[in-house]
Amino acid sequence: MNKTMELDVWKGDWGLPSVDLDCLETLAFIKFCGVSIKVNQKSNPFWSPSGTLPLFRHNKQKLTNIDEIAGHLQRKNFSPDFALNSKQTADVVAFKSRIKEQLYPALQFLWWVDEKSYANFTRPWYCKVLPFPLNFHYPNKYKAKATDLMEAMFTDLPQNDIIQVELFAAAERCLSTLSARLGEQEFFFGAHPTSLDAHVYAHLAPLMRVPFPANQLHNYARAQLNLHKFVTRITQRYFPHDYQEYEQKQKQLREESAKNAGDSRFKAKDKVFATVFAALAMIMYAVAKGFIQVSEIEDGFRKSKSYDYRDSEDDMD
Amino acid sequence: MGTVHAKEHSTMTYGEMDRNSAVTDKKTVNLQEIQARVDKVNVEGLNRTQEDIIKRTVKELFKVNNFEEVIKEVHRTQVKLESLGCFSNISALIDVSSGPKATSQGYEVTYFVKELKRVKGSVNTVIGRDNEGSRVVGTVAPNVFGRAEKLHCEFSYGSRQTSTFNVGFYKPFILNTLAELNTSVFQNESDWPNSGYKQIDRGTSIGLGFPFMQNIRHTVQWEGCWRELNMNTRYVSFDVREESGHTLKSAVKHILTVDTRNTPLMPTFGSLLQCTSEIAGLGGNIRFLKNEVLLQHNVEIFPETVIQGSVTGGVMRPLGSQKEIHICDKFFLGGPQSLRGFISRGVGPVADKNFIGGTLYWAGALHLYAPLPFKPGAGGIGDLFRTHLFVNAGNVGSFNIDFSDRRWLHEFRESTRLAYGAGLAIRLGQLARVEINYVIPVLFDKSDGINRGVQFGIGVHFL
Amino acid sequence: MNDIIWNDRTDETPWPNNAQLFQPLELEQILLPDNANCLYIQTFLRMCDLDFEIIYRSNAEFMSPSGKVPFLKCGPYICEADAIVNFVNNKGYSLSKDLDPSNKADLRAFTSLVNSVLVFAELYITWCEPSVYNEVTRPRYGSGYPWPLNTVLTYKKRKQVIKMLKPHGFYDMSINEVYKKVETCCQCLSTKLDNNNYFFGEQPTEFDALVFGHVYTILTTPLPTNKFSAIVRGFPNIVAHCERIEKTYYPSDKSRK
Repeated sequence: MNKTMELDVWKGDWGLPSVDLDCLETLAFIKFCGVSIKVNQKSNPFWSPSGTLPLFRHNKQKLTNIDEIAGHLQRKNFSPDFALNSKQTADVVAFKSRIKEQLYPALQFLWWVDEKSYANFTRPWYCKVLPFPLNFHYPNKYKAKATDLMEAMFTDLPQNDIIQVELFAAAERCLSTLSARLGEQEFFFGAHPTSLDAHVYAHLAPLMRVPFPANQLHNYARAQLNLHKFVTRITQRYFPHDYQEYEQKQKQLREESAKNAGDSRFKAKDKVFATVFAALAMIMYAVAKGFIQVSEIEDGFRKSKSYDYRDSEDDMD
Repeated sequence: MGTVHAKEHSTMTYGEMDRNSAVTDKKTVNLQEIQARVDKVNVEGLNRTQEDIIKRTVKELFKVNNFEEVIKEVHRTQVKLESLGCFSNISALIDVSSGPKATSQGYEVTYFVKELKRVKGSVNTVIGRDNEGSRVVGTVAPNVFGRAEKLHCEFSYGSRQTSTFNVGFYKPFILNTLAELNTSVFQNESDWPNSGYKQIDRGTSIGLGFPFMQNIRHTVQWEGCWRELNMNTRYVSFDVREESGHTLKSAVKHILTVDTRNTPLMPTFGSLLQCTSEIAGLGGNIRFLKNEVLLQHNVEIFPETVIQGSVTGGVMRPLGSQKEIHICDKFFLGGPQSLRGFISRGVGPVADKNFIGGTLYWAGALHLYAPLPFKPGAGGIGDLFRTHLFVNAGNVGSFNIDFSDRRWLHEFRESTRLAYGAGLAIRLGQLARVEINYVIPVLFDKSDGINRGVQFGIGVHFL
Repeated sequence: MNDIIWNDRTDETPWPNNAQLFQPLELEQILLPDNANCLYIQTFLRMCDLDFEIIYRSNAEFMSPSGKVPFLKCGPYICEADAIVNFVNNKGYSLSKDLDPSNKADLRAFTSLVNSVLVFAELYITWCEPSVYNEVTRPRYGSGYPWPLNTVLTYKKRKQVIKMLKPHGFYDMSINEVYKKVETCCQCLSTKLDNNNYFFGEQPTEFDALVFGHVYTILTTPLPTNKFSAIVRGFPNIVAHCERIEKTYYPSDKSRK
């Protein structure tokens, strides 16, 4: 009867068990419950009933929402929040909405709205992870969703840099609130992690570990020493495998790059190839656009166009 | 046109007449003495154009008595046909009439016309108010129902992120008279940085124009317009901010035009009088009465040297329950097309650096137009250029007009703005003109936006 | 670190005597969510013992730079809704400066809770619940405009509100799910308040003003459905808290409403 529980999540990277906020929260939550579960790093939300990950499967039940999963586990007598009194439970709800209101939009901005990081970082990452042709669909979908959120928050959508300033200011306020609330404790409510810790971890870990191209928040987050320690503590204690694997890979990479540093012949060949390719492409473009005309095809370009010219239109004030 | 050299019983198209006359024999004939009448008028190439409008256009042709009149009337009718806006190409042929009903002095006139296509598209770049450039995409459906009606649709996107669209319908000859009907649905965005706000107008208008004796024209127009005012920045004056939001104007406007000028653009003689009255408040939440007058007179003192004087002025007051005039209805002055030497809307009442306009204004200008020195390119491109010296003055303000207490008048007179300068005026086609001037403001207020030095303006209406 | 300043600078000039609070017309125009916000700010300013004048304008929403009401005009400065609290704090008037960092963090967290549940629930009821929208919202919102502008603007505003509710998941909820959210939120507030006079200590803070603004408005606004106010009434300590503030800061009830 008690089949094993399974959880499909987005793939991890940078020493995180998953890069997605909801997956990360669910993973942490389940770890805090102490439930043994089979985790599949799927990275394909196509087969999930709601089209999102995480997807939790247990006894033919499919759940995709952290609240539903928490409810399900609670019915099975698994919950990290049993020890909380009613006041603390109220605090959990309040802080979760604080994070949702102030930190979540900034993260969405970093992942999807900021053009630089979307084009150079987020989109390539998802394109690599997702199978073809889904890799064209999902990044656009997530970007649209994040943009909707921005539009909902700012009435007449201003320039991205104005949004960024506002969102990051709010996020910084939220971070300092969290830092103040955490104080010198190990977890938010003492020595044991709760659902709030899972929630905070899911929002803080990407901020601290994912190397976004433009991440002014990164430094601010790391400067909150107790929060930084909090994230490292959870990663090391609950996801030791992902953490160590990444650290080792990084170490290897560093060694390799040190080795390759002297090998400049390889680079020179690359450069020559790139230059030739670019020049060729430009010439082809010029020919195609008619900047350079080959005489035989000249007649083919004669086209009669009729335009109605008007010089000006005006009224006096 | 008194006498021309002509071959007897010649058959020629009107346009070729001069060329043919040069090579034929030199016998002089007085055309006025040749008795002539038009028996028949053919119009070839009609397809969807209805006969009745053609009939009324060509009916003057049957009233001629001699051959000179025939030729003159054939030309005049050709211009009339062109002005219907239904044909792309018109040529005329005069022949002696033949057939059973032919009379001895009878002639037959044949017009060869080519109808315009049903739909015409265009893409233009237009420079409009305040030198804002915009891209216009438009389509026109000429002669929709065969009686010279016109349906047109335009969309433009400006360099200052303003977009406009306009769908309009024009119908001449209502009930077989010379009255014209003009209707349109429009959306128009405009940015007024000197006043601190952006305005979006959406609305519909319907207008009826009809001539009344020679040179006089009445236009009656109703416009229903939803205006939305948005502030440009947080720091816009509170006086302007208070006006933000939505208003609905429903107004009837009457324009009386008396125009005896030879051409609207750079005329050499004649005068123009235009009186505009607008009353708003038939529905909507804007109520005011607005009156404006424009008078222009042109005198040619030497050949091609013209003195032009213009005076314009206006006054408005709120009606009924409304106590204040809304900022987007007020009068503004300044800019290359109105009061030169000042920036656009750069004159008059100010609130924290935002110009808020007034309810009373006047402006006047005196120009001396002359051709370019030594007339380079005369008869060609040089004719498009004029140099001019000018002096212009004006004032705008909000005053409580009280005829028993004349202090407001004194104040209004004391604060007159004046600027003079010289420059070049260039005619662009029959539509617009460009001015490049060097202007020196003489009388101005501390708070005014002054444009000393070179000022560039492009538009249709200039003061 | 915890003394967060997010206006450009701390402004030490004294409170001017011509501060004006702009809000929509109270009798015929204002809607539940705006009314709650206006009451919140009014109460907050009263708690700070600051002088201000309330000015009613039918276009208050459009005069406000961000479209939020109420907004405060204080000398040359204009600030709206939540920014008013920061602005006042920067002037040196703060109701929460004596709280310890952990309590301050709690205050902010609970503020977020109210903003992300009660505010959205009020918007939902006002604009997405058909009976309320047709019987209350439509006539009231359009009251300041002639036909056909009233219809167009109400439609436009509804679209805007829906666009705002969607990313927060509220638009896709049923009315009962929204009620459930409100109940959870009130449960949290009730637990937090417990048997104290005010949420954080013996003195009121801006959070008390915020809760009062929302609770009072929810309790007193007549709507075709009274389920919303019934939920709030289910928490006696919150209702008592509301009455307490009303008695203290609006001693003669006629001065308001």
